[in-house]
Formats: sequence, structure tokens, C-alpha cells
Amino acid sequence: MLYYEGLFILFMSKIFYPLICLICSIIPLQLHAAMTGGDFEIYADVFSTIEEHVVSGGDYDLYGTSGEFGTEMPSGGDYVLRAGFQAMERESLSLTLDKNAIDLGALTSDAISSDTLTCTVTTDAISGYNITISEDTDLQTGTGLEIDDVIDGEVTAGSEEYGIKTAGTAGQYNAADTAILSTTKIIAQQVGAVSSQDTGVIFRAAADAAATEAGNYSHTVTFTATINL
Amino acid sequence: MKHLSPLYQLSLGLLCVLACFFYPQDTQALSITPARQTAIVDASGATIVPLFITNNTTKSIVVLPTVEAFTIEDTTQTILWNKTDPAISWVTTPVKKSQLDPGESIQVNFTVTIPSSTPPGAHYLGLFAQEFSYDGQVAVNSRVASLFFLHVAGPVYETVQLEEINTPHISFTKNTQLNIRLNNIGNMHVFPTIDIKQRSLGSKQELVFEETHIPFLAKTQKNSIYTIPLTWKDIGKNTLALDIEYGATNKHITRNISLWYLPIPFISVFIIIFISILLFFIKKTRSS
Repeated sequence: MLYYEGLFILFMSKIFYPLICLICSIIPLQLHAAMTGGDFEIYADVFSTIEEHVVSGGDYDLYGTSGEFGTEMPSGGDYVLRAGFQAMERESLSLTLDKNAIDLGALTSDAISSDTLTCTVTTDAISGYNITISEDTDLQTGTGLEIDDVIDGEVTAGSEEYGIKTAGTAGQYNAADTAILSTTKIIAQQVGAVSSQDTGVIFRAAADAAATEAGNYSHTVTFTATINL
Repeated sequence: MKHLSPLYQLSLGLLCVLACFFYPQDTQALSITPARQTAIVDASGATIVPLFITNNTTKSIVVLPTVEAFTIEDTTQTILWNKTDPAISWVTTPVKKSQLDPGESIQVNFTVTIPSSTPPGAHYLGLFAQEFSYDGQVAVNSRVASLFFLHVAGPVYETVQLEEINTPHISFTKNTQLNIRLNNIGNMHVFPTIDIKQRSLGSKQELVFEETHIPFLAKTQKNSIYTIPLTWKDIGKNTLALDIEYGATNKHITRNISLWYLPIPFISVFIIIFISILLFFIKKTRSS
């Protein structure tokens, strides 16, 4: 009984709620201090952080050494960056492909040849990740004969076309086929940290009985994973 | 050959099926950390940037550390690799091809050496761990990049130019598009915030578009399309006051642009009224 009376008195006392507010305000301050404490704790893109929290307008100098930064007198430019600052995020990124090569077999005009590769990504980056694809050359023979890239959004049987389609939450071409280019093209993108997120990449090709010449067609594609900016 | 009992055959078949799940497949798997890093280095100075690479597969793999520069596509805002940048040659590593056993990790140190006459500014690089591909009809390479923001120390100039701003002089639809092209001619990336104040005789509204997650890289252009929602209260002349704020120094670009909002139903009613008045006067003229 005495215990409940004590609790009641505590709840009704004038210092209880200010005390709770004080505790709540101290916890975030401690977290903030931890973020700026060492070499590996500061956000890598430190300028956006400074932009929001340190700078209040006007020209200034910015320097940094071993993870500490501050302002100084201006000496030309909008501000001055001095050497020494080096920061990284402890984020990691993992990319797994379940195949080393795609085998489309012999292309025919009767059906679409396809083979699927699965990309699996794990990252703790809050910004998320993206996967791009690029090629060294078109799908071609040693003598330069090429299988045309798909341009109409769908690889069709009987028509000489080659492209990819994606499957999965992060897939960017789940609805239509797209060509692989020598420039990078994002095929999967996700915001937020993910664990073992799969994206299927379906390689699809078809031949035109009249236009596609016999030969060994091949090329190399590169999957690149990075966290989002 | 000794006859196998049905139970034994069933067990053997089940074992074969289960073995398929445990058979090590031909896979590529790389992990890197950190996924993003920044360094500020003096001209003629040097620093070391580490990259930790782990083989997550159940077999040995060969990894090659490489460096590439990137930019951001001006319209889609997607990352584009294989950009030319002199900074690529500033980053070297003594590590060439490394064989990693299953579960093994290595630390690859990239040495960044800035030439003496290098002007201050930002360079955007990727430090890659690349796994070699195998031969095949479509050989597959995989690589994982650590984004590396390299800044050559010195004065920072934040200068964004408004290259182009346009919207239809007369808008017939309720969602009018405003096209803006910006050019970052400074030597540092910035995070612009676009504030558009729309005002007409009948209403006014403020639209704020923040793009804080994608940096507007130095020496790049950016095309953006913003949708201005208009209502029947905005019929007639509208003024769009554009305020772009950017940079650590909170710089502003301001510009005013006007447009007429004339929705199709309004024009139809106007034409009907005009024709009616015209007919009225014609009739009146004839009768007189």
C-alpha cells in the first residue's frame, strides 16, 4: 500500500514531469555526441551535414582534421576546405550473383530463348542501393555480326531482338524488356537498408529466320552495386 | 545386382533431392565496407583510403580492386560510371589480383596522391572490388563500389547558374509543368532547394521541392520538371516566383515568370459568349 502511495506522490509531484523531459532531452544529446566523436563516425558527405547544422550563412573557412571540423576566417572563395579530413561510414554492401554466365542456348525464330540470373543484395545503408548493368559490346560474333537490341519494349519470337527484364520489388524493368547498353543502366533500386533482397534478371533473345545469321554470339555484361547517393 | 527395398529407394531419392539444395552453386558474392567515404587532401599531398573486401561464397574467388569516376545523369538523376576524370590516375593501389578463400577478408589500401598544381575542387570516384567473369555466351562480371568523395583542399566556390526556365505562356491544363535547367559551375556539390510561389488574382500557394538526398555535383547540369497545380481560381494571369537556395553559404537564385491559365471549358464558354454577342450585334445591325 505504501508502495502505491509513493508512486502516486511521485506522479503528482512538480518535479516528475520536468525530470522526464530532462531525461528525454539528454538521451539525444548523447547520441549526437557519439556520432561526431571519432574518425569513422561522421557522415561521409560531411558538407551536407555542416550545411544543415553548422553554417548559418555568409562566407567562412572550413577545415577538418581527423574527424573534427570547424570554422575560421575567410581567405578567398565561399569557404576554404583544408586537408586532413577523412571520414567514412560504417555501411557495408554485399552483392551476390547466382551465376557466372548466362546460357541462352541456340536462338531460334520459333521461341524466345531465356535464362535468369538472381542478384541478391544486403546493405545497412539507410539510403539504400542500386544495381546497374552495362556491356562491353553488343551480343555479337567474332566477325561483328550482332543481335539487335530490343527497342520496342518486348522481345518477340521471330524478330531479332535481345534484352533483359527484371523481377522483384527493386526491379526497374519488371513490365518491359530493355536493352543492355555500354553505358550504365539502373536495373534495381531500393531505398532503405535491406537483407538478402533478390532481383531476378531475365535475359531474353530471339532470332529472325531471314535476318539472323548463324554464328557464335557472345559478350560480357557487368553488374555494379553501389549504395544510393 | 542386389534388389533394393522400396523404402531404401525412397530414402536414396529423397537424399538426392536434398543434395541439390546443398550443392555449392557457381556464384559470385562480394561484400565491401565502407560503402561511402570522404577525404580532403592538399594539392601535392597524399592520403590512404582503405577498402575492406570479403568473400561471402563457399569457394575461392579472385578480386581486382579498380577505380572509376562517376557523374549523375542530368535528367534521370541516376549514377553514370566510366566518366573521364584526371582524379582516376591519382588513386593507386599496390594490390592487383587477390585470391580470397571462402569467408576471407582483405584490406585494400588505395593511395591518393594529388599533383602539385591541382586546383581545389570535388572529384567523384568509386573504389571497386571486381570479381572476374568466366567464359560463356554471356559472361557475367560483378563489382561492388565504395563511393569516394575526394576534395582537393582550398577555396570552395559555390556557383549555380539558372541556365533555363520555361513554362507554357498559355496553359490549358490544370497541372502546368515548369522546366528548370541548372548548371553547377562551382567546385563543390550542393543540395538545392526549390521554392516556387504561385500567385494569381484568385489565390496564391507556395510549393517547396527539396532534393536533399541527391547531390548536385560540381561541373554538371541538372534538368528538373516541376508540376504546378492550378485551380479555377487561377484562371487568368499567374506569376511564378522562383527561389533556389543552395550551398553551405545559403546562396539564392530568384526569378519571376508569368503564364496565363485558360482551361478548355473556360475558353469554350468564352467563345460561346463572344459568338452570342457577335450574333446579337449582327442581328441588331441588320434590323436597324
